[in-house]
Amino acid sequence: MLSIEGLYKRFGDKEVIKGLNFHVPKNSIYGFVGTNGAGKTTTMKMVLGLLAADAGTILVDGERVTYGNTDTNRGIGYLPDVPEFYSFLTTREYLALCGKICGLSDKTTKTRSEELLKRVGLAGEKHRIKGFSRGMKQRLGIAQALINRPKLLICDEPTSALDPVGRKEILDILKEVREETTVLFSTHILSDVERICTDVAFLKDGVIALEGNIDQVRTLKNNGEFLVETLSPTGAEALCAHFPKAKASDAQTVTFTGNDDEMLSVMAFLSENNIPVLKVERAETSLEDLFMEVTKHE
Amino acid sequence: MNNVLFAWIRKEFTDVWRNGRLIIFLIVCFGIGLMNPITAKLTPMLIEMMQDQMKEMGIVYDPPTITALTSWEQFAKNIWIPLLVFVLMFGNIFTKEYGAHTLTPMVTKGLKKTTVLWGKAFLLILLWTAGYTVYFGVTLMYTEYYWGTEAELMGRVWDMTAMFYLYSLFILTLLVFFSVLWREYSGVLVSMAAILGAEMIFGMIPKVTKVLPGRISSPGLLLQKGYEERYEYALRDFAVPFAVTLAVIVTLFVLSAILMKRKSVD
Repeated sequence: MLSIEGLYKRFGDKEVIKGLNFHVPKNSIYGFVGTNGAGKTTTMKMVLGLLAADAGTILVDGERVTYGNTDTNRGIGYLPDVPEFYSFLTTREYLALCGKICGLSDKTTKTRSEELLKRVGLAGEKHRIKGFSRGMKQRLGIAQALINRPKLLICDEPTSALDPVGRKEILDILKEVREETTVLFSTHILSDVERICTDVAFLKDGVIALEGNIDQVRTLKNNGEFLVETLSPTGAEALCAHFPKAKASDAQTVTFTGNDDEMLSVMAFLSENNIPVLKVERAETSLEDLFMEVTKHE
Repeated sequence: MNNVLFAWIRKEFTDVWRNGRLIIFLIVCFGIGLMNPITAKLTPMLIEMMQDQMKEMGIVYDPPTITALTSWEQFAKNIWIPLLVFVLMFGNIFTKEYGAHTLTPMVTKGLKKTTVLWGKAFLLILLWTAGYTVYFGVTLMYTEYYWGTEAELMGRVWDMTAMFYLYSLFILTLLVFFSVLWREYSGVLVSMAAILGAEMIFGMIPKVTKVLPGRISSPGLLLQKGYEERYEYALRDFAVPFAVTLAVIVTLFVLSAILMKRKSVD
């Protein structure tokens, strides 16, 4: 859906983006993760044609993005980190203006507006936008971004300024819209990525440090560790005696390193020797661990 | 007019209508327009009231004869006030959007930046024309009511009004151009002041002043004695700066459109 190759951007002496490459698959929710100042917003603005790239290619659904009045924006919906609207208009008037700009008929705009306002929980809101809370603005931001059924929805840190309730609402909406669009979602909140994203990329020093399907990414760094917690210390001792590579983490917990076969043989030993266990657990690498690892400074 | 441009102008109009600025501006224009004939009407009465006091001080002053010309002279003298009020009230029409980032969702939906430019420029011209019409209309109505303007003078009043209208369009074009160039309203105002200041300085050179737009900024000249006799000559006197102003307006609009396409409105 979105393809970026060899992208560079410099502001004065500072090179922010240094040869960025990544690909967003269709109908994915793509988490674009990086620390503050990593270049997430800069990248998104270049995708939207709001900033000129120094070098590189950006393709949206196969069409090249150009700086200025780019035609690729016809198929993109954009939700800025702090969306600002015309406070003197009502939600319906604002969406009607958006519909006109997107070239929708009045009838389509009206139907689509009602549908979207219902989806984002603003259907009953008849007042002007002036006085809307941040969460309400963020929800209206999603509605305006989706008015023309875009192929790609770009959200720049949509949850970073919201309270937990507001965050959950936005994440639920983004999860829902995956059926009709591809979502590129920048954030530094890793729990949000774990909650809704299908794919993830970690941006570090202007390049992608790690990218892929979220399960694959986790497996990449997974060293096949699993642990067994026995009911009594004697069970743990028996395990350590039988499996020389096993390491005792504490009196009742033993850690193993190995593949599924190794795990099954441990479970068979437990069963054959009637060793009661409290738990057998595969140790998964969390996104946070991964992020810390790939973004740590040498 | 295409649908998007029309929708954009309607949004701009809704803004000035709902926040009350349009009504306030029209009331100000009405008030200043009314002041011209009223000041002319009240001046002899005020002088008469002060006659005794002035006599004691040894000043002998005959009350002037007030005619329609006096009212139109006031009109010419105050003609800058509505324009100044307009620039201060509506001059941030571009820059407030840059600061608030309200254009970002619009542009990322495919709204052409030139549509933003033409829509805002059109609204500025429309609002100013409305205010200027009120200013002129009120002065005309009361001047006709009190004195009646003879045909020859009325001809000169029309010329004077049209001439200053063109000059006001030059000011609006400067406003649009600098609003495309800068992100801050202060930058726009300072640049406009600098241009007008430079025009005043160059205006001191007799040969240069004859071609500068500033020449048509003082249309009251057309009402002065002397111009009556050599009116045709006077109009020719204004023809060159008139043409220069038109050319500058067109050039600035073309430059604004070119720059707007490259401008970061985010």
